[in-house]
Amino acid sequence: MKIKSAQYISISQTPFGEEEQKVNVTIKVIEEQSDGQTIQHFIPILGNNRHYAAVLEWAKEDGNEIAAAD
Amino acid sequence: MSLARDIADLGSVTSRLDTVGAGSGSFGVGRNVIVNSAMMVSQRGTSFASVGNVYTLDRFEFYKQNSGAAFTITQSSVTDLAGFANALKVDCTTADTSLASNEQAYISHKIEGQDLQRFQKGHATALGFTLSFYVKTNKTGLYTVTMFDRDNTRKVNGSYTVANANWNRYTINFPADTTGKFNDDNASSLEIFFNLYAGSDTNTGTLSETWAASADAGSTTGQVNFADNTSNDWEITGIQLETGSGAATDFEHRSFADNLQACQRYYQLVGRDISDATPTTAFGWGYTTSGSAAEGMFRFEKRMRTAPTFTQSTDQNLDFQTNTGSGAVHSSNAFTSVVLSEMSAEFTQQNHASNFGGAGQPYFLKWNGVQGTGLSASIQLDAEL
Repeated sequence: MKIKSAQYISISQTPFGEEEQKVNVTIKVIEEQSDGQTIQHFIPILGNNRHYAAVLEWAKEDGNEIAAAD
Repeated sequence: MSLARDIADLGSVTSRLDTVGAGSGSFGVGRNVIVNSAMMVSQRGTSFASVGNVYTLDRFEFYKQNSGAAFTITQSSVTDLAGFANALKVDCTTADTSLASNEQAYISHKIEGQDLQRFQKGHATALGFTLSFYVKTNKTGLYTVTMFDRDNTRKVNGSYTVANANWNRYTINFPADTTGKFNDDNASSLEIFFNLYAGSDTNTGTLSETWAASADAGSTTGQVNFADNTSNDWEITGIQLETGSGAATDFEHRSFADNLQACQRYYQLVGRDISDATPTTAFGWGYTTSGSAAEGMFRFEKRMRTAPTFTQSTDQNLDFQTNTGSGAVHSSNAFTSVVLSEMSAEFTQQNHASNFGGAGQPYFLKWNGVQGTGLSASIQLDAEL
């Protein structure tokens, strides 16, 4: 997977009796394919999703960062 | 004959069946733990050129390491093996006659731990693994198969010898293992590697045919170099893994519908078939939150193994169909965000180029009939191991 960018997607949750919270649930990844076309992946933040593991590996490399959610 | 005699005869037959089942360790419907074992399902397409480390036919991944060789994989049509219509075919398109020590390639199949408890691995009563399959190849010689226990990082290997270029059924009996239980969960516990070639890192020493801590040496010993000629083809179908330590039972055939549903636990195409170039399927619905934004959802065909990765071309041919005007149609951009569960996807669409007609408009989402074929023109859900 040739990743061009990665950004967290968050949702708002309001647990009973608590303030509203923003929780990261997905990572939006833009991938460049060999033909120059781009595709996007929405990858759930789950340990048993193999693409999530791949994005974490990508983020360990210098210069790569998963951007904060909007 | 009397009813009493009929019942007595039935009891005798049942008793004999129980004996057969106990002796072989494998009996009855559902004994095969391989999914898509007859290669009937290939949702991603039917031909995969220059493959490397990707899923091809459903549930079967091609893995290639440090190799200059190239391959095309197809879902081939089988006409010379009674009972089977499809196979996974590997065609060598770029040869590699001199393998470096760390080169390797294989076809793999991964199985969830919760589907493997019947093997009783890690218990004193552990059962053997009987793997059977049909292979046809013009590259004769010895091939190796590896079973890797990912939960406990243990490995065992076996081999089969191809003596002719016909379809043949091969059976490998892997021994029971009283060490290391499979986890009872939805992660990969057992991985089967059908090796095609391997360098001297693994192709050395004596083939390790008893379960042991995973090691490279001895895991592909004697393996032929399938990549040594561009005329080489290798096909496989009818894979069965069952408990037991003797002869394999007859292949357990399943319907296409059963196979497809089993595969959809791991991978789905949304609202269309890969070969359908002009899909018009409606598959989602929701409401607009402004003149240029919308939210919506769709449910999956089947509950997936885990929340899947959602993959979408950034150039979609979807329509939001609202009731604004007379069946107004708004061509879709790629979604802005998607939140996933095992059962459904919930999406948002921001800054849409078209005017939805304000907030509160219901709509449904459909392919607009000019999609074309290929994965880049699809929405894919991937929960593979």
